Amino acid sequence: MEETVLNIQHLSKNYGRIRAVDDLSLDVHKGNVYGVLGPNGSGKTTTLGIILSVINPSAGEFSWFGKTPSKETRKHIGAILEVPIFYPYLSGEKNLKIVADIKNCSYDGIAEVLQTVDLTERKNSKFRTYSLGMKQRLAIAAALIGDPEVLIFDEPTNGLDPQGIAEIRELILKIAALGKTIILASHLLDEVQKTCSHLVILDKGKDLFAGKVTELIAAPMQVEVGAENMEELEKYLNENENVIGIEKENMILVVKLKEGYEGAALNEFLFSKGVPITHLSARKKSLEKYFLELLSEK
Amino acid sequence: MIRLLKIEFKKISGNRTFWILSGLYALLIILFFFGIQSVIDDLAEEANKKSPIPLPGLSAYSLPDIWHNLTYIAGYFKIFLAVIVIILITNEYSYKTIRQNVISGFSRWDFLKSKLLTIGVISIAATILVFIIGLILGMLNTDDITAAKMFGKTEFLLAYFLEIYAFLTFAFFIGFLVKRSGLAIGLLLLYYYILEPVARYKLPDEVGNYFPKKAIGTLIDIPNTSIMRLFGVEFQDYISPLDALVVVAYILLFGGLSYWILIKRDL
Repeated sequence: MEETVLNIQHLSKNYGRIRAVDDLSLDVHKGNVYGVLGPNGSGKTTTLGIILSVINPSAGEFSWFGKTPSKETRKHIGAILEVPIFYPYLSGEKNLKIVADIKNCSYDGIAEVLQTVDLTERKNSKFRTYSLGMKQRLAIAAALIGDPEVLIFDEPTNGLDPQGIAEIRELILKIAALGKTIILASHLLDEVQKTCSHLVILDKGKDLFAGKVTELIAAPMQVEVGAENMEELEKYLNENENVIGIEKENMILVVKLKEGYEGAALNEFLFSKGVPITHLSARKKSLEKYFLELLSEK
Repeated sequence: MIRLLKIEFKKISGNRTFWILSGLYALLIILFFFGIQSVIDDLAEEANKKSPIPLPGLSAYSLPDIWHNLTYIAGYFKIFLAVIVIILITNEYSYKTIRQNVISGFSRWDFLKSKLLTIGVISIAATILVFIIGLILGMLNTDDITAAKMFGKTEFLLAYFLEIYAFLTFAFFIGFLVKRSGLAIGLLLLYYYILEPVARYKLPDEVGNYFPKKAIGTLIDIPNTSIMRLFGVEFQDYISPLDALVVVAYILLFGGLSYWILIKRDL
């Protein structure tokens, strides 16, 4: 059994009449990389704010490492919420020392985390002189202080250029390889697909999906089929018991197949029925497509 | 406690606004007290010339009365320190560092405690400043110095510390409540110079005397000068324990209210 790091039960947060988080329950297991997806305003940051004890929930509860959340549990969590937050008039290194002081750990690890995020050369510059990418990297360095068991990154690549995004992504993968539990909130689906093993999809404060990325993507295989005679094609497809869904899309049909039944078998079947096909291609669903589907399904 | 102060000191160490304002405050106090001596001397001379009966020399700076005189006058400058405290706390909100402090592993109480401790250190520093100035000026203006003279009436220094600490807690609370420095400073000045004086004007003394500015400000009452005695006006020339109790109550009230807000509020 996987060790539960975070357990959330029936969490809700109301802002006046708006429900930012709506009866959310969730388990986070050790060593996984979780992507929290959702459109803007779906309650991602509010949820993270609650589990970090900076936002008071309206209802529900949560526990870290099986304990009631306290400042002690928070010392085992490294987190950035929304934007990198530091004292602008202090140097990067001094800011990290304050974090180390708050976490009650020694300064020994500071040089190493600065090295990890490649900021050693600029450690004596004031935070306010940093570029956006450097600020994000310093925030990751701060999160790494004290060797936390869990890392929470909220939109860590916000506002970065493609190179910066790639750097941060690599950094997160590097941290994940150390066996840390990571919770990564983002609205960049591509980023989540590339870094996460698990997914939580939020919309209007509710979770639409929670599970492995592969589970979501391994949903029924889809094949695009086209033929001269579309009516006949559709008729025969309907007869095939391995076809579980047909959708019209422009000049082709998108066919959902049962697990194990593949494009080649479908081709053979149609050929045997005397339907010459002009187009056949397997469609790999991107996370984005699933995401949009999930959102529109409700 | 030491750990919290160390963290606070790190936060403050690079804060240029804080050091410039604190330096200005110290300079202002020092210049004022050393400069005012000649003004008082002149005044005394003027008064002596006009007076039909010879007045005893004004002894504003002789020990031990200097402790009362100095702490009373220095009280007028506490508004300057209040502005510094407001900037310290509202910075934590405008930089959102209060939120990050909690995320990193502070409890909300830790945060509040670290600020109340900082206010304590500022109050102690302000008291030490007055003590040093008083010691120098007192020695220069007292004829035969004895230990009894030197340390008589030093309870006024303790009262001064209490006055500053209470007032800064009040300022802290306002800064904490509204989060923005400009607004908080504006509100403090508005309350200090207009709202409370107007409200007190309308109310009987038994009520008005317990308003924060008044209660905190009159812990050290106006020193009785020789001229005032001539006119038969007599002010309280000691620290009343009851007054001190009211001031302590205000410290607890504003500290408690700040804590209550901090617990209720989303950061």
